[in-house]
Amino acid sequence: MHRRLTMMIPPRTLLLLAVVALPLVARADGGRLQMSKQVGSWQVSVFTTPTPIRVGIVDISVLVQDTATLSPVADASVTFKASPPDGHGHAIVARASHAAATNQLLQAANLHLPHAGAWNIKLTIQSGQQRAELQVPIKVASALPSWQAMWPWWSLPVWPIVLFVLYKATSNSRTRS
Amino acid sequence: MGASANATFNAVLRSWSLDPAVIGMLLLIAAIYLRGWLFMRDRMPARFNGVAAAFFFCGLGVVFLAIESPLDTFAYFLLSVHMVQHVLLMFLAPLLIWMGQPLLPLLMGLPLEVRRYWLRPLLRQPVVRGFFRGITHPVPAWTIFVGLTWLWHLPALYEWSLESQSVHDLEHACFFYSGLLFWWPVFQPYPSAPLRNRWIVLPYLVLAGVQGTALSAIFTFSTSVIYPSYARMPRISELTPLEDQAFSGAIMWIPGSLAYLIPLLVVSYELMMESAPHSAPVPQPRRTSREPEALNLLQVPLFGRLLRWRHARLVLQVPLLVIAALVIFDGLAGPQIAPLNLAGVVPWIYWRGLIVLGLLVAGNLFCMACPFMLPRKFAKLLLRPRRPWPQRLRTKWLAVALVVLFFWAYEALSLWDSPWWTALIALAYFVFAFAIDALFRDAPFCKYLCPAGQFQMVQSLTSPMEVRVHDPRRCRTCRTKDCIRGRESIPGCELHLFQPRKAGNLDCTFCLDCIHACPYDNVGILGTIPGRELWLDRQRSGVGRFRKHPDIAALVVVLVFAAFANAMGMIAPVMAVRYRVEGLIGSDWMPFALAGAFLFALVLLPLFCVWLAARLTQSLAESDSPLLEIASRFAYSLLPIGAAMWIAHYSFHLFTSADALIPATWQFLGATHSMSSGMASSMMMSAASGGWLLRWEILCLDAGVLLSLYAAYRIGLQIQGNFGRAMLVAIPWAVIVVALFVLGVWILFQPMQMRGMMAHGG
Repeated sequence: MHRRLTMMIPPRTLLLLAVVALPLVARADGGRLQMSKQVGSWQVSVFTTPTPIRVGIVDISVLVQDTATLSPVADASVTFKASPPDGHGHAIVARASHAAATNQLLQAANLHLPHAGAWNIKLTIQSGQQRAELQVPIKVASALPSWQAMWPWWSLPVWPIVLFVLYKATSNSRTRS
Repeated sequence: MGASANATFNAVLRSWSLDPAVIGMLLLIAAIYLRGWLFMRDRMPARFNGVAAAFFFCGLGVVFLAIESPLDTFAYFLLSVHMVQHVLLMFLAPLLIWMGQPLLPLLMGLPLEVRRYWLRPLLRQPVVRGFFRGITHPVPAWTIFVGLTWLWHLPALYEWSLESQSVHDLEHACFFYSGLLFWWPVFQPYPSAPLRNRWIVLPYLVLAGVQGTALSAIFTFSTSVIYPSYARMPRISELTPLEDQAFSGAIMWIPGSLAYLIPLLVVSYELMMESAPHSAPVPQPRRTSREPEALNLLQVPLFGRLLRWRHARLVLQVPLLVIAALVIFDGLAGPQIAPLNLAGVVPWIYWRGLIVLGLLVAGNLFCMACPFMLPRKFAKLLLRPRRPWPQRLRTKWLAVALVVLFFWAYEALSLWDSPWWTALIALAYFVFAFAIDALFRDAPFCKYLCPAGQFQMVQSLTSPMEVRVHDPRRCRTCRTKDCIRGRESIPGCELHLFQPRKAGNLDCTFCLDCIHACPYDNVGILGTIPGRELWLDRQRSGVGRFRKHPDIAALVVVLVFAAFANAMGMIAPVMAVRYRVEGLIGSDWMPFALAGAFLFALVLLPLFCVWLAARLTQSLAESDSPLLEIASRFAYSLLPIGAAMWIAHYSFHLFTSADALIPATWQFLGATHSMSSGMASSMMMSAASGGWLLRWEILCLDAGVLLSLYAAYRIGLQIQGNFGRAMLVAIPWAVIVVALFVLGVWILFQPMQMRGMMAHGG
C-alpha cells in the first residue's frame, strides 16, 4: 500500500500540501502611532487603524501610562470627541474601553467618520482627580467605493479559475504530444 | 507597584487576537491530519504513532501561539517579542510539523475525489515535480531560507511590514514556509526520497548557524536602533529601544543556534552509527480498507446515539411544533407589528437563516425536524389512505408553480410584515399536509407539493452530507429490503428511495427511517463531496435520471433565479423603483404588477436564458441530443451559485437581526414596549457596514461561482470527453453563472431593508 501511495504522489511534491496548508494571517490592533506625548504626569500614545484613514469606521486606540513608572493607567477613563473638518456636521463622541481593544493595555473605540478632510480628535482622560486633554489632528481620505475596497474578496475566484485552465491546458497539450 | 505590575501582566496575558478565520483554518488542517493519521496508523502503526500526531498538533499550536497570542499583539511594541514570534515560525513550528510526519496523513485526510481529480494529476506534472525537487534540494532550500531571512530584516522591508498588515502577513508566511523548506533536507519526512549523500546536512546546518550568528550579532551589538518604529513606540517595559534590540539579537542567537546545533548533533550521530531512519522496514498494514472512512454523523458521540434512536425525529419535531403553534397563535391574535410578533421574526429571520446554515453544514435538517410531518402521521394513522397520488401530478411542475406563487405572495402580501398572513400560511401548511396525506398514500405532500421541502431538497444537492449506504456489497446479499419496505413497526422510506440505488439528497427528507429499518446498520449520514451529484447523471432511485426530468431542472432554475429576485426585492434601488411604480398605478394594482415582475424574473427570464444557453451548447457540441435534455443536464450547474445567494442573503438577516426575538418574546409574554407602529420595517442596512459579514457573504458567492463553473465543466466533459470541447460547450452556462455572480455581488453592496427588525432609539 505504501508503495502505491508513493508511486501515486512523488514524495517531494507532497511538499505542496504543506506549502498551501497553513494560514499565517493575523490581526492585532493598535495600528499607526499618530502621537505620543507627555500630558501632565501621563504619557499618552494614540494609534489609528486603518492606514491610511478613510471615510468610514476608524479604530482609535490610546495607551495611557504613568510617566514615572511606565505602567499603564488601567482605570483611566478616555473619551474621544472627533470634530469634522471646517465645522461641517456634528462632532462625534465615543467612550474608549479595554473591551474594544485586542491589546488589553490599550483602550479603543470605533468612530464612524463620514467626511474626508482634516479632523481633530480631542481626547479627554480622567483618572481620579486627575484630568488631561490632548488634541490629535488626523487626515481622513475619501472612502474607496465598497466594491473597490473589497476587490480582493470578490476577485478571489479568478485565481483558481486561471490556475485550473492553465493546468488543464498544459496537461492536455502534454498528453497530445 | 507590585499590584500595578500584576495588573499589567494580566492585561498582557489577555491580549489575544482570536481571529475566527485563523482558528477555523487551523482546526480544519488538524481535522484533515487526524483523519489521515487514523487511516495511516492502522497501516503503519510504528511510524504514525501517537507521538507523531502529538508533534504535529503541537506544531499547529505553536503557529497559533505565534500569530494569535499576545506575542503578535505586542510585536509592534517590542522587537524582542517580535523576534520570539519569528523564532517560533522559523524553527519550532516547522520542526514539530515535520516530526509529525504530515505528508501522508494530510494527503489521505483529504476526500478521495480531491486527491484523484485535483492533487494527483497536478502533482504528477513534470513541471510541478521538477520545481519541488529543485527547491527541496539542500542548496536552493538553504539559499531561500537565508535569503528571505536577511531580506525581511532589511530596515526598509521590516518597517513596511510594521506599517502594513498584509505585508506583515506576507513576512510571516515567508518565514514559516521557508522554515519548512529549510528543515526538509534535515528531517526528510516520510515518504520523501533520501538524499544521495546525507553528509551534506552537516555543512548545511553549520553554515546556517554561521549566518544566523552574523545576523544576530548585528542586532546584539549595534549602537543605533535599526528599526525607527521601535524607537518611536511608547515604552511598555524597562528596556530602552537599544536594549530591546540587543535582547532580540540574543533571542535570535541562542535559540536559533540551538535549533541548528541539536539536529546537527543528532544527524552526526546517525551518520556515525550508519543508520538511516528513512530506510526502516515498512510495517505491514493491519487493515485492508483502501480509503479512510467517510465522516458519519451517526458515529458522533451523543448526537449519533440520539439519531440512531427510533424516536429521534420526534424529539426534534415536537419543539418545532410547539414553536409553530406559538407563531400561529401570536400571528393571529397578537399585535400586527412584525418586529413585535413571533410570526414576524421567527419564520423570516431565524427559520430561513438557520435552514440555509443547516444545509451548508450538513443537509436537509429542516425536513428531519419538520413539524408538518406530525399532522401527516396522524392523518395516516387515522384514515389509512390507499389512494395513490395521480400519475399526471407525479412531477415537480406543481411544486414549481407553488414556489413561484410563494415568492410572489411574499412580496405582494408583504408576508414578512404581516404576522397575520404568515400565521395563516403556516396554518394552511398544517391543514394541507394533513389533507393531502389523509387522502393519498406515500408522502405526496413532501415529494410533490411542499415548497419549503422542495427548496430544502434541491439545495441539499450541494450539502456536504447525505444519507447513503456504507458498503454497497452488503446490500447485494440483502433479501428483505427493509430500507424501503420497513420492518416490524419501523416504516421504510415513504418517498420510495431504495438505498442501494439512492444517489444524492433529492427527495430525501432525512427522516432516518431507512437507518432505523436496516438490520445491518449499513445506512448512515455520510460525508460527500458538495455538488458531486450535479454532474453525475446516474439512475437514481425514486427520481430516475436528471436529464429525463425537465420538471426537476425547472424547479432548480426557478429556485436559482428566485435567490436573486428575492434579495433584489429588498434593496434600496429596486425598492425605489417599486415605490415609483406604486405611485403611478396605485397600491391596488401593485399585486398585479408584482405578479408580472415575478413571472418575468422567475419564469420568462430563466426560460430564455436556459433556452439560449442550451441552444448554443447544442450548436457548439454539434449534438443530436434534444434541446430539453441538454437544458435539463446543464441546469444543475446553476444550482451552487443560487444556493450561495440564499446562504449569503438569509445569513445576513440572521446575523444582523439576531436579537430580534427579544422584543417579540417580551411582547408575547405580556411585557409592554414603547415601539410605535410603522417604524419597524423601514430600516436599511448595508452589509458593507459589518466588515466580516460582507466578507462572509462574498466568500459564499465565490464558492458558489467556482462550484457552478466546475459543475458546468464536468457536465460538458461527460458530453464531449476532452477538456477543450468541454470548456467550449460549458461557456454559455458559464456566462449565466458569472452574470448571476456579478449581480449577487452588486446586491450585497446595496442597502437592504431590515425586515422584521426594530429601529433602535425610537
